[in-house]
Parts: sequence; structure tokens; C-alpha cells
Amino acid sequence: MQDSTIQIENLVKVYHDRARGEVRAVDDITFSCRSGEIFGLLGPNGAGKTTTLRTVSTVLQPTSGTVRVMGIDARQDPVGVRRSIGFYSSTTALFPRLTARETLRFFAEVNGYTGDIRQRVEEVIHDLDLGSYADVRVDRLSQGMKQKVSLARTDIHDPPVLILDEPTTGLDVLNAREIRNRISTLRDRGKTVLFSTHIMAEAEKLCDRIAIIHEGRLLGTGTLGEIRERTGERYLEDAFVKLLLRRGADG
Amino acid sequence: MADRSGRLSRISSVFLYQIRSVLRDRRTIFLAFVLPLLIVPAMILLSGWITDVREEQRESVEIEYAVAGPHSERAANMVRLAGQHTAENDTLTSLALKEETPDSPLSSLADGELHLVVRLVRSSKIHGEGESGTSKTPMLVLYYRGDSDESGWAMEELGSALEGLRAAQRRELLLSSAAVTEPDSFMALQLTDLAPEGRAAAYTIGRLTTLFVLFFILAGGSVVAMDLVAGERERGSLETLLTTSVTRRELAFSKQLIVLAIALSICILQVLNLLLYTSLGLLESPLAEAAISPARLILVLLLLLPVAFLASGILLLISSRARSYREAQILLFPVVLLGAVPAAAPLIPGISLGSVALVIPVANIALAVRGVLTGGVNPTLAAVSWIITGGAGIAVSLWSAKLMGSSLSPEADVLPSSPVQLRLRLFSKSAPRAFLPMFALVLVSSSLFSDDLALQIIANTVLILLGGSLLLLRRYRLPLRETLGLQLPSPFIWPFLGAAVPAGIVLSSHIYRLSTALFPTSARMMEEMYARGIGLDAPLWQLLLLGAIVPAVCEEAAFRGVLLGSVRRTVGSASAIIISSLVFGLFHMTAVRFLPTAFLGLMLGLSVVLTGSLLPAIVWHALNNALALMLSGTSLDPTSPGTLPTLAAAATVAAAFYVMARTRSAPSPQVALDKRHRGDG
Amino acid sequence: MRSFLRERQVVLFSIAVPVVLYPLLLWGMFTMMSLAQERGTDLRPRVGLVGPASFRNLPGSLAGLESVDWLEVPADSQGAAEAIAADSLDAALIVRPGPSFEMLYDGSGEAGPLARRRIENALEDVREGELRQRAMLHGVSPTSWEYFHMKALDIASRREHGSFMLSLMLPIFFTVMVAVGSFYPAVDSTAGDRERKTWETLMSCGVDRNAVLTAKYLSVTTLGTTAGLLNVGSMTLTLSTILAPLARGAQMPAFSISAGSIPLVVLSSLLLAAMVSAGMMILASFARDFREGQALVQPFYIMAILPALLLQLPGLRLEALTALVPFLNTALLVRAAVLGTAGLLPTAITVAVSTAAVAIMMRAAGHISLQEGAAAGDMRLRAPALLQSFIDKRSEKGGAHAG
Repeated sequence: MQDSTIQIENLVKVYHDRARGEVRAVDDITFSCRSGEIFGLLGPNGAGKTTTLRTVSTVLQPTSGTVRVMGIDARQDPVGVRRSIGFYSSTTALFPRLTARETLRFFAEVNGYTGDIRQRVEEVIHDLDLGSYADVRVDRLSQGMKQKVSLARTDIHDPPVLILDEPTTGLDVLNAREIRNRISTLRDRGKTVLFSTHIMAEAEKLCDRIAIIHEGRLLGTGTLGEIRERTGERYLEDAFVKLLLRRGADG
Repeated sequence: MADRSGRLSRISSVFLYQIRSVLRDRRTIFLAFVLPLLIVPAMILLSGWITDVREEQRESVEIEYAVAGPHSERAANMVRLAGQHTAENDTLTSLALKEETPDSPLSSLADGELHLVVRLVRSSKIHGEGESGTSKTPMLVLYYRGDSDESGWAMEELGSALEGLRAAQRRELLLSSAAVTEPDSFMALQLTDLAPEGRAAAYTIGRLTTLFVLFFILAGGSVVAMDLVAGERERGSLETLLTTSVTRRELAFSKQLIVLAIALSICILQVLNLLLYTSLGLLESPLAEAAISPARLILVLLLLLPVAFLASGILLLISSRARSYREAQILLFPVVLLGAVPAAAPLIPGISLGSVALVIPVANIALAVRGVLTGGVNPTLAAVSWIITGGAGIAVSLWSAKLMGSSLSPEADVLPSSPVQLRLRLFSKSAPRAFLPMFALVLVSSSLFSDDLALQIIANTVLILLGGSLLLLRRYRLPLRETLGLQLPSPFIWPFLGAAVPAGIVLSSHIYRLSTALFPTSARMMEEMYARGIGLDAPLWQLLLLGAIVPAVCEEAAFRGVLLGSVRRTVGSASAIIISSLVFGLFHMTAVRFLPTAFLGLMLGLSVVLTGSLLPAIVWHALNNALALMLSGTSLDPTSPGTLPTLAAAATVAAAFYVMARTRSAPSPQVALDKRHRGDG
Repeated sequence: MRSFLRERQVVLFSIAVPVVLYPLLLWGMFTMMSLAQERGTDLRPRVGLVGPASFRNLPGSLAGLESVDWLEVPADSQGAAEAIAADSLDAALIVRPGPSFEMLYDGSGEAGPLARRRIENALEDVREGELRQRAMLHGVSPTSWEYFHMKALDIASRREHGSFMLSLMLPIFFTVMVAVGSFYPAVDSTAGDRERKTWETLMSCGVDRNAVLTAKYLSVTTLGTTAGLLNVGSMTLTLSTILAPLARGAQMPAFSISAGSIPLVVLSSLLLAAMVSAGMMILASFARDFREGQALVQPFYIMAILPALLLQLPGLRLEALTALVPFLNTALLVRAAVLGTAGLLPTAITVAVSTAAVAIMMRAAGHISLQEGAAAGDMRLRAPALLQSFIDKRSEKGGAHAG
């Protein structure tokens, strides 16, 4: 029995919007992830994926419930949690006037990477094929390139847990493939990857286990196989709809 | 449990990379460093040019004048003589006179066609100087237009020419009557200016240096500070940093270091700039006369270091409070203006380091700098100034670090979890801002009703203050009673309060004395202020109503109810009391009344916080005003109580507050409102 | 424009700040000034007296010298000089038999020159008196001696004084505030929109691009004009309210703007806002985001304000010649409006020149926005390329006409 690297129990996040009133962005979600696993959070836009991920990475504080990363309670020791993770989201931007290489070096240093930083940076640049624009200022890169650099810096300090919020959104086909390959490789190296997407096909391809979320609530968790069995559907999209209907029927 | 060992390296990493990022922004470099370097010579040149042009113009003015009155011939004659005399004897000035002959000289003057009208009148019409013989002496009246530069110059030139003529005449008389053999050396006065050359220029520079340096630091440093916090928050790179191993405190500290570094560089650069134009005399200007040794400049630089420190702290403070880049910029504007005030202290004559200015940060350094540049400053005083300003810098930096630390989290505000909470929050944010338009309205109404004090009071207090407060409450649909705190406090406090009112007046009188020392007002103004009182022969009920009760209710509702209540939620009770008192003082719009009013505000605010109710404050305020009114009508001089009464008064007030604190039964109403709707979690 | 007014910050910055900040500022300034003045008159310089014992009571006999502190006497002039250098005295009066006087003083600072002025005046009076007495003793008649008295009378009314002072201060504040008032909306509506990506949305609407631009421009101009007008009003009000209580009864200038000059003030405001907005919007449309827009517009901003600084020059009036200079002419127009001296021809020229400037700038703006790069919003257009395209277009048209 492998230890869970991420444990989320009864997570609730509520906030108040002037227009909509009280909003339960995350409503009693429970799941856990292990090392060497790609865990996908699946659901349509607005389902609560980003909020969940931001809570796990300590950017947000939960309204109630517990979040544990590598055994550390996020509420008690958020810094400890942060040391073990790399977080990527569309809300995390880069520093516009540093070059890609400088960015990677900076985040390696600041996260306390213990090995040879220079070597590591070159390694990552090579792996993600950033070589041609490694010394270009970030604000001069295209959207796709920026995203790649962003993902690179997420992993630059070799954390055991990676939390990625829609990492391939906005990338072209080739780049998206590269990213997915990278994520696979990281999993093979024993890391935990918790990521979210709204593209069902991507989840099918990459994830070891999946959690389907809709309107802040968990519709179902399990491996791809388990979900197929449970719903009797082959494609996740159909499975999702079925689960939704079932939930609706249950009331 | 952040790992300490990595702390230093993390801070230095953030520092190095961020500063690299900052310095690569061309705009920053330009605004912070290049622009100030350009502005100084530009200003020197421009002002020099304008002065030259003005002088030239003044010298080349051809005085167009006309003579009027029955003795116009004589008058014209005198003017001509004066002109001649100047032409012959005074090689420095040349007087170009041109006589015109319009039909009605005075109206031509009024229309601007002439510079001067000269008229000779018999002295018997004018109140003479009481000596015999004077009544026969004619008087030359020079009519001019005060709103025209040229007319004013013309008057001065002709005036001195005529005086010259008269002096020459008298000299002649003295010589011819053998009254004095050498009129020129009779009781002659020789003037020797002992100030070393350039001292005057150094003096001017000394007065302005701190102001300029502070301004450049704030202007240049603001670009960096805004970008580092507000800008980064907007861009999203702040969130990236927040998910790394850097703690918020470390992050805040690194940012502070960066702003400090920039502020210091600007400071150094400016002093070097000064060196260029003074010692090295790069430009032909009066500044170059000030021979300031490099040693002195280094001393000036050392003195300015705490100012840079303080300025950087203030910049970061603004940046942390602002939620976006634009908001930060809006906040900066008034702060820069406010910062200019203490730095301008050396411009006020008579203020020296040995006075109360010693304890005011920035002002004391400014005075010390002036001292250094003009050759003498007391080293102890300078050191004390350094420590005080540095201390202020440290305090502000710590405060801004705390604010930044908490605001760096994207969830800086605890998100409200109930509609009432949300409305309270919005109210707390907008209510203080509403006081700005209220202030403007009070200004307008004061000028409109400047003659009718009663109407003014009604307009200001009832309409604007009370009306504004009620409107705010209505807008956010907050319950009147609880938000303002209109419940009854413990009955025990009333007797103590009653005693505290006159005690408070005794204490205020000391503040008043201090205030008149700081803001000297002419005796005439004091009389005016008293006379403009309601008119003490008005019926008593009217006096009490308009002078005590109405202002008490309305002002308390506005300042202690709305303002104090809303600001409390953001900055805490203590600061809120201070802020509301200051605003209260400002609203009374005269310098001399500011401090005593603010002092009263402090006491009233404290009573609200301690009892959780607005009612004691209303009663206190009303009684205070009523008592003050009655005292001003009697001959009792409240302005100089002795030490013993003062101590007794202080003790009484302290006792009253103590009782208030101890008998507090319920939490303050707004807190109760909050809690009731908060729910759990 | 509605989206502007909704954004509280815009309203705050462009409108509320000038209206409210002014009173506070001017109040503060005038308090400080009157403080300085009072302090100045209260200042008592320390003066030492050197001379034979018989002159010890000289100070008492000198009128007007109670406002000077006569200190313990140094023994000789050397001592006095040292005392002054050591800052224990501000000035010293040395009396020599004759009598003749020498005054040593420290010319830097305020106390020394003040002492010098006061003592100089007092001694001058004494001297005059003495001479007069001697002259009389020797048979000179008082009338000959007096020769004449002299007095100066200011016939300018309080109102005129007020207008004069207002005309000195107002133009520069006015220009600055219109510029400031237009700055934020101008940059926000162009660069800000780019940043928010709403630019593209707007540009790809079915609406005519020029119409969109014009609409933006009008809203910016309106805001700028309003800022300027509010400014004038606020300043006048502040001056009359705050100054009045400070020194009631004295001959204070009366600050007000006559009803007749109001249309002119509105006109100047409009013209200035129009020019400023046009220029700012053009520059800002080259920018990709708000910050860049700010950076690009700032030089223009400074350029617009600079001419108003020149108003310090005396004798600069709104005439046919000066009316030809943009930005300078509006500042002069506002001044002339306050003084009531605006002539018809210069005003007309000002209007013409400003309108022409606006037309040119709007044309350029239209041309730029029609460029593809501007529509895409992320190209730094190069001026030569722009010019080239302009020329190409022109030659096309010319060709079409010819051909």
C-alpha cells in the first residue's frame, strides 16, 4: 500500500459574490493521490477544478475540510507544503523581463534546489526543447512558448508533487503532445501529478485515476476502467453525462 | 517552520532577480534616474531666463503718465525734474518718461492706457504729519494700478526718482545754508555683510534640497514600488512566487530591499547632481556661487539616508494597500503632496532645529541639511534628527512589511460569508471616501452662507454631515441603530462623563494655547471669530440648539458613527480614533482650531470605542459646546489653568474612561452585527 | 463613456481629486504662508551695540526698534564680528564719534537682513530728523525743506486684484488639470482596451471603425473638459472661501469670475481638452498595455504643460501672434477670460488653430487605426512605415484622379 502523497477530505470552499450571492465553489470533495500516479480532475468550466487545485497548493484557504500534501497539513504548515509542490495555473504568470533561462534559474534557487542548478536548468531546457529561445525575454515569447517555460519552472526544483491546472489549454497540437509526454515521464519517475482538464480525450490518454467534478461536487472517482464499468460507457464524455443524470435522479 | 538556513539565499535570489527585472525596464530607468538629472538644469536655465527677461522688461519700460488736477503744470514740472535728475546723476537706472494728455487721465489709467497719473494736491486736504509748515507743503499723489506689473514698476521707478530729486534738493539746502559741511558723511551708515560669499546661495540651496530629493525619490521610487507589488499582483507573477518556498515575510522583505536600494541610488545621484551645479559650477547660475565643499555634501548625503529609508517605506505602504497599479498611482498623488509639507519646513522663517521641529521626521533632517550647507549645525541635534527620522523609517517599514505580508496573499480580505457582512464591508470601504465630497460641500456651503452663521450650521451639520451619513446607511441597507451604536451604555458612566466634560475643557485649553503658539493668529482674527459667533444676545434656547445639540448629534453621527465605525474595520480601533479625530479637526477649517478640535475628537472617539455606544459621545459633545459657549460669554478666562487643576482634570478624564472600559456590557454594535450574520467557518 | 463612469477610479482621479484636493491643498498652503508671514514679523533679530557709553541709550531713542533684541555688548567690532560668525548675534551696530555708524550683519538667513532693514530704516529716520533740525536752525524754511510729500494710491478694485491673482495662478493649474483629467481616460480607452482585449472585440463589430474612435474621443474630451471646468470653479471657490475668513476686513482681493467670461472659460476648456485628448489617444494607440500607454503619453503630457509655464513671462498676452501657438493659446485665453481682456480676433484664431490641430490629429488617428497592425493591437508601428503607407494612399488617390 503506497502512501498517499495528496489527501483531500471533505473540502469545502465558499465565497460570496455580489451578483450571485453565496457560491459553493467546492462542495465536500474527497480524494487522494499516490506517488507515481497521474490523477486527473475532470469537469466542465466552472466546475470547481481550479479552486480545488488552488486550495491544495495553499494559494487559497479552505472554508472547511483538510488538505494534506506529503503528510503535511496545508492549514498548519503551508510553507512546508509549498516546498514539496510545483504549481501551475493560468493565474500564475512569469516575470516579463527575465529570459527563460534566468526564470528557470531563479525558481530553482528560490525553491532551494539542492543539486547543481546550472546543470538542472540545461537539462530541463533540453527536455522541453526550449533551447532556441532560452535567452529571449519572456515578454517577447508567444503564448505557447510562455506556457512551456511556465511548465518548466513548475518542475525545475524537482518537487515530488506537481499540481497543474489545465496545462495544455491554449497550446497547439504539437506542443500539447510534448507536454503530455513530459507529464508521463514525470509520472514514470515516481512523481505525483494532479492535473485538471476539461478535455475528456486528454484524460483518457493520460490519467491513471480520474475524479469527475461538476458544480463543485464529486460525481465519481476511480481508474478509467472502473468508471467505464460503473457507467457502462466507453467514452468519458458519455460516462460523464450518465453520472450527471444519475446524480440528478438521486436528487 | 521555514528553514532558516535557506532564508538568506532565498531573499538574495528574489532580490537579485527582481532587481534585474526592474532595471531592465527602460521607463523605470528614465523616470527614476535620467529625468531628475535633466530637470534640475532645465529648471535652472528656465528660471534664469525668465528672471532675465523680467529684468529687461522692467528696465525698458517707458513710463506713460499723465498729470491731473488743478496744479497739473507744477506736477508735470516736478516729474520732468525728477527725470532729469535721474538722467544726470544715476548711471544705473534710466528713466524713460512719456507724458500723455488724455481727456480724463484717471479713466485712461483704469482702462490700462496709462501707467501712472500724477496729481498735486494741497496738503491741507490730507491728514498732515502735525508739524507746522507742513500744511503748505504740497503732496504728490501717484495713482497706479496694483493689478498691472508695469504700472507697479512705473510707480516704484518714478517714486524713487522723485525721492532722489528731493534728496538732492535738501542736500543743496544744507550746503548753501552751511548747516552741515558734508551732508553725505553726516551720520552715515556703513553696511558690511559678513556672510561669506555664496552663503546666501547656499542658504537657498539648503532650504530646498531636502524637498527636491524627497520629491525625486517618491516620484522615481514609486514606479518601482508600484510595479513590485500592485503591478505584479495584476500580472499574476505574484501568485507564482507565492507557491514557491519563499515565505510571505521573506518576499516582503526582498521587495523592501529593492525599493530601498532604488531610493538610496536616487538620493546619491541627486546629491552628486547638486555637486555638479554648485562646486563644479557646471552651469552659469546663482547656484554656482554657493561654494559647497564635497565634505559637506557627503554629510548632507548621510543626513538624507533616513529620509530615503522613510520614503521607501511609505511607497511600499501605498503599494501594498492598493489593489491595482492604477489605484496605487491615485493614492500616490496626495501622499507626495503631504510629504512635501515637512520637507518644506526650512522655508518657514524662524523655525530652527532647536524647537519642536526636532521631533518631526523629515522636517528635522531638512533643517539639519540647511544648517550643514550654511556652515553650522549642532552635531547632537543633527544626530537626534537622524535617529528620529531613521526610527520613523523603521516603524513605517515594519508596518508596511506586515501589511504586505498579509496582502500578498490573494485572499487578503477574508471573504464575507453573509449578505450583511458583504454590505458592511462595502460600507467600510466607501464610507471614508464619502467624506471627501462632504468636505467639498461644506466648503461650498461655508462660502455661500458666510454671513448667516445659523444657516451655515444647519446646512453643514444637518444637511451635509447628518444627511450624508444617513444616505450612506440607507445605500448599504444597514440598520441605523446598530451600525451607529445607538443603544444605551451602562448607567454608571453618566456621572463620570458629566465630570469629564469640564475637565476635558480644561485640558483642551492647553491644547488651544499650544495651537496658538504654532499657528499665530492676529488679535484681529480672534476678535472676528468671537464676533462671528451666533451673537450672544440670541435667546438661550437657540444658542443651545444651534451651537450645542444640533452639531453634537450630526457631527457624532458622521465622525464617530460612520467614519470611526467604518475605518475601524480596516485599520483597527486605535488608528481609527486618530484618523476620525484628524478628519474632524480638518472639517473645522481653520488652522488654529484644528488641534483643539482634533483633541476633542480623540476623547469622543475613545468614549465610543470604550462604551460601544454613540450616545455618550453625543452627550459629551453637546455639553462641551454648551459649556464653551457659556464660558465665552463670561469673564472667566479658561485659557490658563494652573498645574493642579490640570492634573485634576486629567485624572477626572482618565477615571471616566476607566469606568467606561470596565462597564462595557456588550461588544460594540458593529461587531455584534458582524458576528450575528457570520455563521460558522 | 458609461463604462468610464462606472469605474470609480476614473471618476475619482479625473474629477473628484481636483475638486476636493484643491481646498485641502490651498488651505494648507495658505496656512503655511500666513504662518511664515506671522513668524517673519515676529522674528526678533539679536543685535549687539558697540560704542562709547554715551550712546548706550541710543536704541531707546530709535523709533521702531523695539522689535529687535539688543544684547549684551561685545567690547569692540572684532568681538562683534566673531559673535556674528559664531551665530550668537545676527547683527551688530558700531557707533563711532561723529557720529557715524557701521553695521555688521549676516546676510544669509532671515534674521540678519531683517535686522539690517529695521536698523537702517530707523537710523535713516533719525538722520533725516537731525538734518531737518539743523537746516531749520540755519534758516531754511520748512516748506523748502519738505519740498513735497508723496503718496501712492492703488486704483485697482478688489475685484481687479482678484482677477489678476487668479489670472496668474489659474492658467497653469487649469492646463495641468485638463491634461491630468484627460490622461487616464485617453490611455485607458486605447491602450487599456488593448490590454483588456476588448479592442479587438470592438474593432470586429459591425460598427464603423471611425465611429468607434470618434465615440471614444468624444467621451475622453468630455471628461477632460469637465475636469478643467470643475477646476476653475473649485479654485475660485476655494480662494474666496478660505482666504476670506483668514483675513476678513483687510483689503482682500475679491475672487470671482464674471458671468461674461464663463463662456470663454468653457471654450478654452473644450479646446484644450480636445487637443490634449487627440494627442494622447494617438500616442496611446501605439501601446500594448496600460503601462506602455502611460509611458508613451507622458512626454506629450509634459509638452502640453510646458507652454503654460511660460506664462510667467510678463507681458505675454493673447494676441494674434501668440494665438497661433497651440496649447499656449488656450492658456492665454483662459487668462484673458478671467481678466476680461479677450479680444475677438485672437480668440477666433485660437479656435481656428486648435480645431485645425484636432482635425489633423484625428485624421492621423483614423489612418493609424485603419492600419492592420493597429487592429491586431500587438504591433509596434514604425513611423516611417506609417508615413510610407500614408504617402502610398495619397498617390493612389492622386493616380485615381489623374487616371
